[in-house]
Amino acid sequence: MKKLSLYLSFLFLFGFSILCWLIVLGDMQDPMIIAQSLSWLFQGFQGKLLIAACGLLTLGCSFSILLISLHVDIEPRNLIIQENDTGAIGISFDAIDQFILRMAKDTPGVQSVTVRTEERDEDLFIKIRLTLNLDLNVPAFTREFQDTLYRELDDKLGLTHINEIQILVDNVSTQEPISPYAKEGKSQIVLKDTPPDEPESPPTDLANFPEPEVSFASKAEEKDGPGS
Amino acid sequence: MIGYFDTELGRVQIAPAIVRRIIAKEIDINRFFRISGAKIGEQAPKKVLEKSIRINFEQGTVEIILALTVLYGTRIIKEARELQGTITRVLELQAGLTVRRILINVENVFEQEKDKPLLLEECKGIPEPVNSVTAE
Repeated sequence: MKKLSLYLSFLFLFGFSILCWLIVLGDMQDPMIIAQSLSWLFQGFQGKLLIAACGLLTLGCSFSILLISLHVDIEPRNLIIQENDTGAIGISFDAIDQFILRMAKDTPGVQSVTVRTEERDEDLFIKIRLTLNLDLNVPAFTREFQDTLYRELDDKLGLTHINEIQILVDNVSTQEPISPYAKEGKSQIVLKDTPPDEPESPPTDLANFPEPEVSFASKAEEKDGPGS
Repeated sequence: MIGYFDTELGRVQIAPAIVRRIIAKEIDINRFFRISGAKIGEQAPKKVLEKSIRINFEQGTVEIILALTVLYGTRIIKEARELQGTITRVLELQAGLTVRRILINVENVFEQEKDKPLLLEECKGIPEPVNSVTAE
C-alpha cells in the first residue's frame, strides 16, 4: 500500500513536471490545446467523473505520504501473544514467515519458497509454495517437511495451535542452487570417478629449494653408528 | 508520567530515557535478541529506542513494551522469558523501579553474521605470537 501510493505520487508529479517542460520548451499553442481539452472535460458528465476520480486518487496519495512521513503505521501488526507471569511474548506473523523461509532455504532440495501465515478462529494456517529439485521424491519430502516444520514451530516459537500446513509444489527445477564456486568460473558438474578438488597451493619450484642440512634420519644414524 | 521510588528522605524520580538505556544495554548483552530497527554494531539512536522500547509508568510501577528481532533458531519463548526476568531484575536493582509487565514483540528474524577477516588496522593491536618450541 505504501509502495503503491509512492508510485502513484511519483507518476502524478512526473507527469506534471513533463507538462510544465512541454509548455516552457514546446510550441506556444500547447497551453491553448490543454485549455480547450479541459473545457471539454468540464462540460461533459464523463469528464467530471474522470476529474473526480483523479482528485480522489491524488487526495489518497497525499494523505498516505503524510502518514508515511509521520511514521504512522497504516496496517496494524498482527501478533500471536502468549501470556506468562512476567508479562507477555508476542510473535509477529512477519517473524513466523521469516522463520519458515529461512528454515526452508536451509533444507536441501528447496529451490525457492514463499510463505503466508494466517490466523483464523485462534488457529494457525500456513501456506507454503515450494520449487523443488527434480530428483526429490515429492510426497515423501513434503510429508517430512511438514513434520519438521510442525516440530520446529512448536519447539522454537512455542506455536502449538497449528491447524494446517498447506504445501503447494508449484514448480520442479533442474537447476542446482547457485554456489559461490559459480562466480569463480569453476564447473559445478562433478564426475563420479573424479577425485575431489584439493585446495590450490601456491606454485613452487622444487628444484630451487635448498636441501635440508640435517635430517632426523641422519641424526639417528650418527648416534647409533652406521652398523647398528 | 515519570518513574519513581520513595526513600526516607523523599522521592527519587527516574526519566524514561534512563530506563530505555538500561533496557537497551541488557538487550545488547543478550545475543539472541536485537532492538528492532537498530544497526548491527552501532548504538541504537534515540528515535529507534523510543519506537522500539515503549515505557508506561503507572502508580510507581512500569510497563515495558519491546519490539525486537530474534536470532534464527532461538527458542523464543525460553529466551524471551529469561530476558523478561533479566530486565525485571536489572530495573529493580539499578533504578529501584517495580516492573508490572514486560511485553516482548518479536517482529522479525536475523541471522548470525559470519566471521569477518580482520583488517590490517585491527591487527596492529594484537601482540606477536611467541614460539614455544625453540630449535636446539
